[in-house]
Amino acid sequence: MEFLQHISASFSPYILAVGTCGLFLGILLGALPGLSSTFSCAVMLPISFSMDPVPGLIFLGTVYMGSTYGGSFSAILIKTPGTPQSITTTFDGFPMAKRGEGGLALSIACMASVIGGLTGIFVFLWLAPPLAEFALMFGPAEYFWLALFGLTIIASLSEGNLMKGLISGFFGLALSQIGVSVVSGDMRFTYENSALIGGIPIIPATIGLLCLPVAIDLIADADHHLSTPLTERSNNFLRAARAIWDRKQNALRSSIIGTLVGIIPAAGGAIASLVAYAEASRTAKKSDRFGDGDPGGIIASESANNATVGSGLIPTFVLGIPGTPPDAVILGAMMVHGVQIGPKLFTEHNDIVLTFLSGMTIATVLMLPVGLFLGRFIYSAVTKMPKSYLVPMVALMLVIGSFAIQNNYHDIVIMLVLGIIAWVISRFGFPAPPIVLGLLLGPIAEQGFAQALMIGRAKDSVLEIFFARPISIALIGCILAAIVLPPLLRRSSFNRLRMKENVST
Amino acid sequence: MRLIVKGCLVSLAIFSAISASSSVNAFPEKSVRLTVGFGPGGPSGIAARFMQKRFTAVTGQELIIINKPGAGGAKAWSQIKKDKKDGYELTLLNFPHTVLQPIARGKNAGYSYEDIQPVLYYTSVPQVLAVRKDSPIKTFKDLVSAIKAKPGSVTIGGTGIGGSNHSAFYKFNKVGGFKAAYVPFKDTSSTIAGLKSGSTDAAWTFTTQGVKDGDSIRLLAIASDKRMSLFPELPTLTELGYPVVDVAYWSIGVPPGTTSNIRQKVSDAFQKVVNDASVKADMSKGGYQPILIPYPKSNEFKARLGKDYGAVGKALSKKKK
Repeated sequence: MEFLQHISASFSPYILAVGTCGLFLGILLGALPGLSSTFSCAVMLPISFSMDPVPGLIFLGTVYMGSTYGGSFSAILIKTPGTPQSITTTFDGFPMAKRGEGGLALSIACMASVIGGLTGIFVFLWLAPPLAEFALMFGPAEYFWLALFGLTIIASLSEGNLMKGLISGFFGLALSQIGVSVVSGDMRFTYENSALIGGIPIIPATIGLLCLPVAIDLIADADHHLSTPLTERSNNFLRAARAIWDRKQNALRSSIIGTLVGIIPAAGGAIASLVAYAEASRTAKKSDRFGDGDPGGIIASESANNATVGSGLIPTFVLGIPGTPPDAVILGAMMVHGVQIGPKLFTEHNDIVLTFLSGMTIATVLMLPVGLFLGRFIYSAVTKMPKSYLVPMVALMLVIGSFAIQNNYHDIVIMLVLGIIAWVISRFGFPAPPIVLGLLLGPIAEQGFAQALMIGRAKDSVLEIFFARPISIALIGCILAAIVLPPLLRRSSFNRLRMKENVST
Repeated sequence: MRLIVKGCLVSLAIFSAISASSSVNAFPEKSVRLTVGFGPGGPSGIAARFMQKRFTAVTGQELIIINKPGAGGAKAWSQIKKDKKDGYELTLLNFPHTVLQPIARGKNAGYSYEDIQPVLYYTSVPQVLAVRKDSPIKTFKDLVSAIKAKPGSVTIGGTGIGGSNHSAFYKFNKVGGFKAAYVPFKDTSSTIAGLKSGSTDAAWTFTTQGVKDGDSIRLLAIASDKRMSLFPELPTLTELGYPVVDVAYWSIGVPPGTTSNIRQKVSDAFQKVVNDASVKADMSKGGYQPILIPYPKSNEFKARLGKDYGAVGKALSKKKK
């Protein structure tokens, strides 16, 4: 098979070295809170310029893959998503770490990432041109419904007190209104303050909302940050493999969801992991404890977000439309490298695509040993570290992470203010994750809604554009199922406070 | 944690290895920071990266590009006045955006027309009217008749409100007496995605997209004063009887209050970079039109753009209300 030949050809020491370097740098950058995949790729652009086009692209691709996975480290260990793709990993990863299963959580994240990553790449390999068409089925109305579906996850995150979860969610949506409106051009809630012109930036806000409360609690509690490991760490590999095997349906479904969402232009890994998490928690068994340290949550989140890496490149290579935000950087690199994209790339320059994908496949497989090694190392460092070192280090990372991407002092202020708000309201039972969801999904829902309305009015077909297109109908079906089914299914089962971790950590 | 530190050191070492060629010029003596008001993969991000590729080889120093997307570029431009005036903290300026926004947004814009100080216009892209390759609209004539057949029903996408696409849309409608529905998107790749998915019937976009997306979109007309060598077949709107010229320009910008001596140095140094044959070739191949308007001529050019777009800016902001 042609691909196998390319794989063996890619086992050149050079490609291996490029891929491993990219992976390693990606994981480290991704693990640092605030340094997103887009940023990691952009920082590495100049290095890729010094390579030939294909190794350069493999390098950027592996940085992207590594950073998407690396985000789970800080998500699990300090409840701070290293990258926005890992927001959902915090929901179950941190509770697991808290009760002493951090090593297991990291191993599960690593394996799920490899599974998702390979799924995305193989789908690219075999189905790129036909699937690129899927990207073109997404119009403004579909984005609107997709964002709404993402918001339904608030329900599963706040079981026990839906009202408080919704209030948090609406607070997030309100925050997302700040800044210039894309569809009207109006300045909203900026009060002539230049710090607010660009709106509330998602990364500093996420760091503040999710992590600052943890940092404050670290100081407030006398206990150790994470409980001491429950089991021998050497078992984690097998335990993680078994956890995934027991939830293979979840891993497969989440990888496919991630792949599909990755193809949708500009949606990206954060939304993919949200949608996969929403699906996983909707279809969960009674015994599962989503939001309370269920391995299934990590599997859903990490396999979905890594699946977007490969699949996001499908519209990027075939249509020239970035599937996910970091793909925009890769697309820019291809332009500067002079690689012509489009369907021709697959017919006339197929060897470029195949070599690139072989390099990516090898690097993704390598992520297993590299990730497990780094995971074990970082986990023991974080658990053994005395609080007097851990707290200042976390605090420093929060500040640097908020500042680094845009070199904006404002962003540190935004991080601090939102973090303090999150800590205060969590005392009263209002969860912080729905605020992040509102902030992330609000603009997508708003733009999709307004654009669909404009187009619908011009064509005299407002109702059709929202309710009569196949993908819209499917998404509306998912939304209804997500809202109606869980209360019906769980009415009989005992009530647990899903927000417990937000209240009492 | 030591690994993280090590990783940082490794990447630092790589960076310094790249920048470790000797410098003889008076400027720059250290790395130069260029802030871009858009994401790394869009037309502005790429316009900056073209220079980054050769900057070190030509000047001996590193060009650090910081992408600060937000508010249609205004997030970056609102901070220019706080930058150091030593020539090492520069910002990429987009025109006509930096003329139109202060008019349309007033005090809320975050910066004023005076904060915008171009020292070297180095590249430009004409705007084009584009449709999907398999659209029933095959020619420019088809588009005009579709617009005339049912005023207000043809949807035309573009990036943002009060930017260059919006301005071209407005001018074209005014010249032709047309009525169409403008659908704003958040960035150029979303505009193109909207076009390709058939959400909009046509789009105002840039020649760069004509190069990148040539397989799947068809250009109908170009809003430049003469035909572009990259698209010899593509008629200008003026030829077609609708005299609309709307070109987006990029310039290196310094903070207001920078001395003319430093402005000249920055202008000279960057001029060397963009005059590099490979930079020019890369830009032309990508659909950009290299130009060269150095300091102090850049001041006159800004004044000209300010005058040209002043009326459009007022009209666009009035239309909204």
